[in-house]
Amino acid sequence: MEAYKEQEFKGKFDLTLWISLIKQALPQRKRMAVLALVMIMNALVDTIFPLMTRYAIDKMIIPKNIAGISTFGFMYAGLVLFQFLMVYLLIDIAGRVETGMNYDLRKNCYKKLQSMSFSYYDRTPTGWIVARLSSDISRLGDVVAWGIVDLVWGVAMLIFTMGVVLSLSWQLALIMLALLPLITWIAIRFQISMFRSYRKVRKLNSMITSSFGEGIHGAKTTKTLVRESANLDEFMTLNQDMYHHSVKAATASALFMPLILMVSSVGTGLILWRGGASVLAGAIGFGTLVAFINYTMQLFEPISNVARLFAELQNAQAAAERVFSLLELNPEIVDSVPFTPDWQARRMQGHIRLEDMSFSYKENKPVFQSFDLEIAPGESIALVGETGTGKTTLVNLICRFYEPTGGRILIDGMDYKELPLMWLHSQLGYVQQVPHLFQGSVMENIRYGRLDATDAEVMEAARVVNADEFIQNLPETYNYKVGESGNLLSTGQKQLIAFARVVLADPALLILDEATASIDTETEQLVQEAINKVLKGRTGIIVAHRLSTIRKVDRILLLHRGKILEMGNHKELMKQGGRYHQLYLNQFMSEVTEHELRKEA
Amino acid sequence: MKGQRLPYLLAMLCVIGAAIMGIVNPLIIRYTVDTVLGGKASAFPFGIGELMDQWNLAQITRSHLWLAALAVILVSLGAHSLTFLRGRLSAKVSEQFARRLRDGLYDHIQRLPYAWHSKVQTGDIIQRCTSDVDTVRRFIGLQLVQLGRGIFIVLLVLPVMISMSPRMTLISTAVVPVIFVYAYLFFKQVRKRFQEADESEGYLTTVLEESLNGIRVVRAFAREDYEVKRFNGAADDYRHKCRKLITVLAWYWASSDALCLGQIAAITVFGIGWVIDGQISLGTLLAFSTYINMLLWPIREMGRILTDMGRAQVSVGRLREIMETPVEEMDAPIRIGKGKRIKGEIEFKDLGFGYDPDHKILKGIDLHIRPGETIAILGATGSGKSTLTNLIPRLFDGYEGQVLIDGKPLQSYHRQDLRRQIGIVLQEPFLYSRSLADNIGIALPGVSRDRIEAVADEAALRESVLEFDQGFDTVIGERGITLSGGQRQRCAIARALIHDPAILILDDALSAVDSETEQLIQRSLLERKGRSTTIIITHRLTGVSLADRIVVLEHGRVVQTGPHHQLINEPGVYRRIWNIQHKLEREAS
Repeated sequence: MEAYKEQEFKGKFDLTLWISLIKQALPQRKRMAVLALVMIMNALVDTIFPLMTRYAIDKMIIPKNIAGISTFGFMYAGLVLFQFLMVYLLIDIAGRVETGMNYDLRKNCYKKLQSMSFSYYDRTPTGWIVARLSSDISRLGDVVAWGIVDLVWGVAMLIFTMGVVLSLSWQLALIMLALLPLITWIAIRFQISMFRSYRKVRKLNSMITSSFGEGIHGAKTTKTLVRESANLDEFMTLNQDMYHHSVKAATASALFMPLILMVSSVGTGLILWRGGASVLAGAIGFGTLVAFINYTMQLFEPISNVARLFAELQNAQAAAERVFSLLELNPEIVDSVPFTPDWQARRMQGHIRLEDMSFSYKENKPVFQSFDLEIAPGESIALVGETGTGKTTLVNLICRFYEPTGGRILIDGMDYKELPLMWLHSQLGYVQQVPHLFQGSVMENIRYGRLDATDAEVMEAARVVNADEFIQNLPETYNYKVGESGNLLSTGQKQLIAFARVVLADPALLILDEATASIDTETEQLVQEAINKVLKGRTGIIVAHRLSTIRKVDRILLLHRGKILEMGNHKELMKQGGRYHQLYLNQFMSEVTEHELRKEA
Repeated sequence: MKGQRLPYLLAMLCVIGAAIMGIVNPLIIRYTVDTVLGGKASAFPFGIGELMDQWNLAQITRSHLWLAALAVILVSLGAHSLTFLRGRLSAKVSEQFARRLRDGLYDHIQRLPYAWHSKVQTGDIIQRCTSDVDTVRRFIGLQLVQLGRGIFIVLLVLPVMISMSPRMTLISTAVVPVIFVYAYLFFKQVRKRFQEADESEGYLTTVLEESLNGIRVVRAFAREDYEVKRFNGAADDYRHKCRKLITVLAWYWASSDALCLGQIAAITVFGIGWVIDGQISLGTLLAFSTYINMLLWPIREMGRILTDMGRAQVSVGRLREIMETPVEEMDAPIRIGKGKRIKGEIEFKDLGFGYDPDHKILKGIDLHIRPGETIAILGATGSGKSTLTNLIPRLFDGYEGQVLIDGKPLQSYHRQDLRRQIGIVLQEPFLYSRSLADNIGIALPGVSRDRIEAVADEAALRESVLEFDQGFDTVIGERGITLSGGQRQRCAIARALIHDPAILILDDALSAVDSETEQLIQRSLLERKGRSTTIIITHRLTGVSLADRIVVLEHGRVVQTGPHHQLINEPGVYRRIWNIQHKLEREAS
């Protein structure tokens, strides 16, 4: 998992990456063009305002000519209205570009994720993927949309301003030009260093958050180990670090604006000195001097905006790298056979055969080697064995969540790599240890088994697996919202809903991963009955943890380190007095004990 | 805020200083334009103007214009230096404040009784310790300072403006109150939309997390298309909410910008007329157009800040709630010195306890555990086994009856001293995000690597450790690899054994360990039998074979006590379980 740590961006500007990003932004190109145009207009108006002042002073105030005042007033009002429109458009369009790009990127990433095989999900923490699809993509949309705003406005503003001042008085314009490199240097230096400092602060902040998390989650352990003061010491060191870096970052940003305004003031002073002399000499008018002072005071803004953009691009590039690493993934399991209507109508018989199959997650660490197994249609099989012996892996291979690295798996006599993956999955039912429910109503969760099922069919399915009774007792019965991951229901209730789902889906092959955790007695009874019902008429593979289940299956397979050590029904295996017997005493006796203790109570 | 008052006061003084200097600069330009270049008499109040005219300053400056430039630069330097100082000081104050607050919270939370921890929602508490602290920090470091700055600017600029031209002042401040109220009302209103967008983002994340965590279900039911539709729906809703928010914001920024620009336009147009009329000078007009920029934008910000102030207040309330919860009482007459070891005798006399007073979990428990004795507790889920063991390290108070340790009441022991004598291993142990060796040795700072490896052997952990590339230095948890349930349990056993506790409690601590490993651990527990008073909570009868005595709990009462050979000859649940097991074993052989 090393690779999934947040990597610091160190590399140089990566052109191909930005080209890929621009390609992603192509659907937005019209809006982006309009946005650029709006920014140019905006910069133009910003450049015109000081010229208005100049006109007023030189053409009206000095000659004491009041005649044009109403025209002037209307023009000014017109400019204000125009600017109103431009500001509105710039925010609105930039917002559209940003949200549109985020949406497209999210959609594409999610689609890619759905095509990825299980091995990817086993390797990649959910949190990592979520961070890519939320904050990283947001950052990209932000930097593209507002990057255009800053860049176009900044560059246009600089060009317009330089054009105007050069045409007004090249001598004074030279003073401004002399300031330009200094301001640019300060802006770039500070924006980058501020950006880095704040990134460091954010990182420390997330460390503080997880430190608080550890302190609270581990409260009991901390108390019993008497770790309080050691924990506090560690926290205070971290917090001290946070303080130090926060003040450093805040100092840099507190220095930036005053420094840049100071440089502008030096420029204003110089303009006042040289410009004043020109006014006295009659070379330029008062208005021109005032316009120059205004231009000098606003010179830093475009430069600072562009500098900030470049600082942000550094971070955005790291985000882009991660997002594109996701977009450019290649699925390991490729569904090569199309899922035609012929296939859609075909039902699986449920005959499964593993031939000389081998599998390994990592090279040189095989989980299965030359593994053979045949399951007859309609047979129910229990897989037992201690954790880590490959029960779940075997199930994943049969479901083609993983593919064998050697040998074949035949379904109804055909190598399943030659069958449509979607067909196999459409014939499959799966009930997890703690069944996964989605945020939504009970009805929606059961209907997940067959999306076109009517309400009546959903309720019928619930009745079949004894779920109807508890559902009727919920506050809004079938419309009850089960909460995030179904957390408002108990494990037993979740299982009943998952069984109802299976009944609705009517799969030819059922995979059942039994819960290890204890379920309350009454629900337990219902779950057991439900298991019997859903196993009827289909091939069933159960990762078994409960005695009551094991006793009912046709065949028990005892797995140990990727091999079938013992096979038979419960009585036969107990008679052998081998590993199953031992496991039984260990694992299933606790169930017996709990059961007996409860009976007593 | 202790020790921070002076720097904070200084920061406020800097705000005032910077505001004053900010006001002076336009006056210099006005003087330069009107008097030096325009040849009018200077118009400063309080005789300053006359004084300047007496010294013939205008004439001097006229021939040495760089003096005006120098004045502008010097005043700017002063203003900007003060602004920087203000920024640095207020950052220091607010960061220091936040730091102390966080330290205080962390310390306080650690010292709160465990009863509090078992009740609260972790996510909520973490959020209070991070975002609420940050809200308060921003309020002190930024918002309050900005507010102060806004107020001082209004107080300082207005008199100067009025002294120059009351009529012009009236025209130029017309929009100021409007923009303030507008900003305030707008941000108050728009907050709902921000919340909507946040909620929509939260939903999007939930949908994403759910479908990633439930990927098995999605695949097994071949619901990829359905999930894509669901995700796209959520993403579209989020886009929609964001866009609506942005449109509203676009309206606000455009209209408030236009209002401010309109104000500037009004000054310019009226100003031109009045300058031509000779009612005001050109320099005055220029000064006004600078001042209005100093007023408008900060005041627009103030409207926004005011809406945020409510949030700071709420945050303070939420933090106070934590800080005002009383911590565990630490005073106790009996202290156990370093290196001392208690005997480990435990006696419960007519013990009754419930987390909630109306609902008793333990009732009338009488049990005497001798030093070094090994006791196995059997009981159904919810029978009170863990609750009983939670009382021994004083994690909960408020029980009825008596608990004696080495013959003295439990409450008379110093909590931490007592806990150092006890090793507890839980079914789902909490491990710290650091190396394996650090985790094992965490209760004994500075413990040797040999000792760590020795207890790891006792807990049958060594073999697993050797599979990791970095052995005992492998980092586990959030920042490292994830251990299996059995590995975690074994790690916790090693951690409990390291300080050779006088009392060892294993709360279903071997449930995830496979049978072979369990036998290894049992062997080492057997070897150290008699060394600690040991309480084993278990479901497996194999664990019972270690025990000197077995205690059966039912609904918080002891129903059977005695050694194995006695209980199997006594009618009751223990004999029944034993018989079932025995029968099965016989069947097998």
